[in-house]
Amino acid sequence: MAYLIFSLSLMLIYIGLAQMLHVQFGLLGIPNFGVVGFWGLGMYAVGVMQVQLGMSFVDAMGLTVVLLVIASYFLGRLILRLERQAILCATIAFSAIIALLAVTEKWMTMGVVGLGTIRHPFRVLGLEEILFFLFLLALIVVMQILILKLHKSRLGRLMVATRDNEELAASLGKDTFQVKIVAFTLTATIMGVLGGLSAPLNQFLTPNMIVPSITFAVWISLVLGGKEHALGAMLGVFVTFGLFDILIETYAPVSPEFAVVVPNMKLFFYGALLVGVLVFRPTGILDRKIKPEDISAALSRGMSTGLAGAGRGMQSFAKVADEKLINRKKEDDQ
Amino acid sequence: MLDVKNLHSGYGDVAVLRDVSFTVENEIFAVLGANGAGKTTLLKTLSKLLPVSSGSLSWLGEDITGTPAFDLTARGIAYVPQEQNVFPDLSVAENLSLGALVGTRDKQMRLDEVFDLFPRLADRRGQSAGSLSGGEGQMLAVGRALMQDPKVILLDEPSAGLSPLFVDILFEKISDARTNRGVSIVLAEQNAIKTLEIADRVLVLSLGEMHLLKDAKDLDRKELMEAYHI
Repeated sequence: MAYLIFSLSLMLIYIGLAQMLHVQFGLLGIPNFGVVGFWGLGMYAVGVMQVQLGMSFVDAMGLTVVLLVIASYFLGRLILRLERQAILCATIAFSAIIALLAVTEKWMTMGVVGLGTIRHPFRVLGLEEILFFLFLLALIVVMQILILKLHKSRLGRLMVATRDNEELAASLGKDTFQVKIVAFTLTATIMGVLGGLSAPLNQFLTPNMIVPSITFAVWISLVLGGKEHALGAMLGVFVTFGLFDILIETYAPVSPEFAVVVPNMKLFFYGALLVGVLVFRPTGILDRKIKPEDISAALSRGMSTGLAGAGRGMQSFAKVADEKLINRKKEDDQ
Repeated sequence: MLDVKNLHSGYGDVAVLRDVSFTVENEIFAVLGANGAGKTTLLKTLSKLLPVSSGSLSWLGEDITGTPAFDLTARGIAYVPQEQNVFPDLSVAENLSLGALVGTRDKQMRLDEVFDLFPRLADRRGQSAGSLSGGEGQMLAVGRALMQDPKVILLDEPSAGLSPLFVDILFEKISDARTNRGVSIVLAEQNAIKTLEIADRVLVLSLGEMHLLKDAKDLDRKELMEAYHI
């Protein structure tokens, strides 16, 4: 149970990262390939402040937010006027620098030895994990609602306009660079906050956690789910992390000799699924034209069909059970 | 209204416009010239999407030489580029509503006015702009500029690639915007004959320099041919 809560909490962190990447890339066209850099900076900042400086989680998170705002704002000012390829390279470089600092700055991060133990923010005996999970769930739900609202707002349309044709968008009367820098600073900071929230989840931090595969996993999720759709990030993480990492890798009944192959098979399926989606549905599972209302209508239709089916199943089960009961009574009477 | 003095501009080290001066009052001000004459460069510089190398620009008596592009829109200067002038992923209505990011007048009122002017757009309001025909796309771009409640529209070759029927409709609407809404137009065009039908004054550019500037009614075909052949 504890492992399931840990896995689901981690999945929520991934959903949050993909949601922020959706705003950056899906709406604004900023190809941030340094997701793990912001996440790692937030995680290590909270860890260092708690373990080395003895700060409380809330104080550490507050200072981390300040640090993240400064780092992402200055990085944004440096790179957001550049071509997209240059932004891609610069953000990869940023994440590489953060990963390297975690190794080299031993006085602060303890280097490869690792940093711990990071305390849980909720100190309720036995309920820490579940409370933390619920907190993350609430955060992700709030972010999802805000993203849905952003899609319907004029700011959202301005972001899409900036992504598609920045020169033309500049003639609409709004400072498009300002829109980009504010959105990048905010979303990169939230990526870092999600890193900070990952610190008590992991409890012990090592530099090998800051690996590019996290960035790629978030990108794959977003592209699979639908990079331009408000719900694409969430669906993408459900399909990749939820389906493969939690359901198949953890709960599928696999024989011990075959278990070693599962992680490699997972990567294979990730790749196959990505190729399949890109070939048959280049915009992702959720095309931007599919409205969230259509999804909720389809879901409720599916649920009602499922419930009706379940109801019919229950009825026939009850009928069979009744018949068996009557037969048994008859046998008893005889 | 718009005062251009000794304007020099270009792309990096490549100088395109040299020593261009004129004023635009309440009128349709046509900019004619052959390919490469500098018409697009002039309009891009006026809309501040290209920097001024030297010279000055002023708008309603205020110097705007260093003013950024987005700031000009709120002052009443709208720009419609020749190509890629709509946002293809957004619907017709969304494209138009982006024009209402500036201005204080009711957005719905502005939208209704544009739909009255271009009923075709009203029929396609929910359609994505990328799926419109060339003529409808131009109408949408002009409609979005009108949504900005501009005092002047810088219009770059709106007839390029359009069928004669669409050119007639578009030029009629441009003329309508001038007559009924009091919007001045700076119209860069290749289609000289059509342009001279609606223009008040004409500037002919040749290889980035002013070749002639005069009232449209005084311009004869021979002068125009000379300008195009230099």
